[in-house]
Amino acid sequence: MAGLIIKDLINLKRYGKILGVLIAIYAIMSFINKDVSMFNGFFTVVLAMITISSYSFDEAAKWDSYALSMPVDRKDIVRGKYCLLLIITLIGLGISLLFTVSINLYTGSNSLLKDFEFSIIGGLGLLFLYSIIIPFITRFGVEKARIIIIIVLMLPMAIGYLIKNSFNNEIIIPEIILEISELFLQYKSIIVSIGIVLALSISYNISVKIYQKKQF
Amino acid sequence: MMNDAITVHNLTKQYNNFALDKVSFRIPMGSIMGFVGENGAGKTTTIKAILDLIAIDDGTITVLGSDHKDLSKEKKSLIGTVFDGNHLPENMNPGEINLVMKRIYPNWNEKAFHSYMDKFQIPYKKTVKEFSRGMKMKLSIGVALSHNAKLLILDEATSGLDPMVRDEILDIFLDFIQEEDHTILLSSHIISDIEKIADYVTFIHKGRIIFSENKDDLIYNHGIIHCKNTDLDMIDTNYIVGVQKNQFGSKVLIRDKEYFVRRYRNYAIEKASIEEIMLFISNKRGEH
Repeated sequence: MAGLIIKDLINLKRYGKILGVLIAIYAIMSFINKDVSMFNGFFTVVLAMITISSYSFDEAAKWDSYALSMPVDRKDIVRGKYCLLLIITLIGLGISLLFTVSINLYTGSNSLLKDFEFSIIGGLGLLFLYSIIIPFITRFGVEKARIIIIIVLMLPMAIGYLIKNSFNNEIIIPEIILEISELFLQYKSIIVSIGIVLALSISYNISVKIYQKKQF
Repeated sequence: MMNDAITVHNLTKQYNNFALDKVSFRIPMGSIMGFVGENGAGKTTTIKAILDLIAIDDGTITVLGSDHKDLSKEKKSLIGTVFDGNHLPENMNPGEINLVMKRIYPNWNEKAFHSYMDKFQIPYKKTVKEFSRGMKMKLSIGVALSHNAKLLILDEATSGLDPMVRDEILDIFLDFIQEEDHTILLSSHIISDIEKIADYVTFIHKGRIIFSENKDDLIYNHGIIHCKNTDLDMIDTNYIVGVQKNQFGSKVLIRDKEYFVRRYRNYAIEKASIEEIMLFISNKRGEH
């Protein structure tokens, strides 16, 4: 499986130069504005694109059928993609942490934790998003899954917008929901972490099941 | 059978507009099987089935003594594959491919890979997408030969190569087969390649196996005669595989050549090539 992940990382290395330039531009802008949110926000979007690209490269080269003729089983290929996602997220968070520390040192601000929390939320959000879309990519391929990815991205926003507009601030939230929300906020780190691990493991198992039946 | 590198028995796969219909053949270990047929005849689909890339509707496939679905990683590492059109990552150069393959194949032979790259004059720094079709094929063949494989499954591996390179690669395949436990399944529509190196020939036509025989027996048992169109009625139809008629006479492909010669002494028999045998048979099938 290590070979599969290295293959993906080498494939994505081609993005390196373009990414380096974009990161530099956003970093400079963030330094000028003394605000990390722009950089971290951009970074999250870049990370989101990268993992999808690894699927596009594989599809273009018809890599999977070739890989399956090697000493690699179907589970390895799916596992490799989930590992790649985690590696990219960790690399992203590492770069984001470095940048956040630098900008805090530069501005003398003391908002390191708060700023980095923003990146972590972005990273976790990405993991959750991918845990929904990877099974679709596995089943339909990147091209066909694109529309589903857009729906997955837009749906929460659309629902939120609809709720907001329908109730128009006249919403009366029941006591119990407020209590649950408070409890959630109190233990948010644990709940979110368990939620992400659960989402990823369910997603992985679904993807493996889909991939076992896939024909090439 | 353990003495067969690959056994395909009654392989059936139904698509909307195409079907593999009870495909059966066996490749004895230590031999080269030429798998021939026109484009769309089912060669690639059969190879995909052997490699368990598609689900089959019926039949059994055994590869290196195991069911094709239960091949261990150890056994899979003994198989080298080259697909038609090359399936290597386009963004990688041969050096990077070496890095990846040595982590995938436990038996990866880096030295052999470098030696093939030098032999094939493949530039290390260029990415696959910059390569010509011929270079891509050579790179794939280099990968397939660099992990001490015992079985090569090659789908149109020589197509798109110029005759000089094709010859060079066929010689490499002949070198590979010198080891008695090495086997090659070579699908191709370039019959001259098959005639040059194959021990056995399997001919697939419209999803059905027309014949799967020892190449020498095939050539020995068939022959071509030329006769008047009116003479055709005098020849026992059991000997006739196919007929090409024109206004000057008929060209007839004969089976059981030895017996035919004894019975019909007045006909001069020419040697039939694999290509002629295939064409006569497929044209005959087309008539029905």
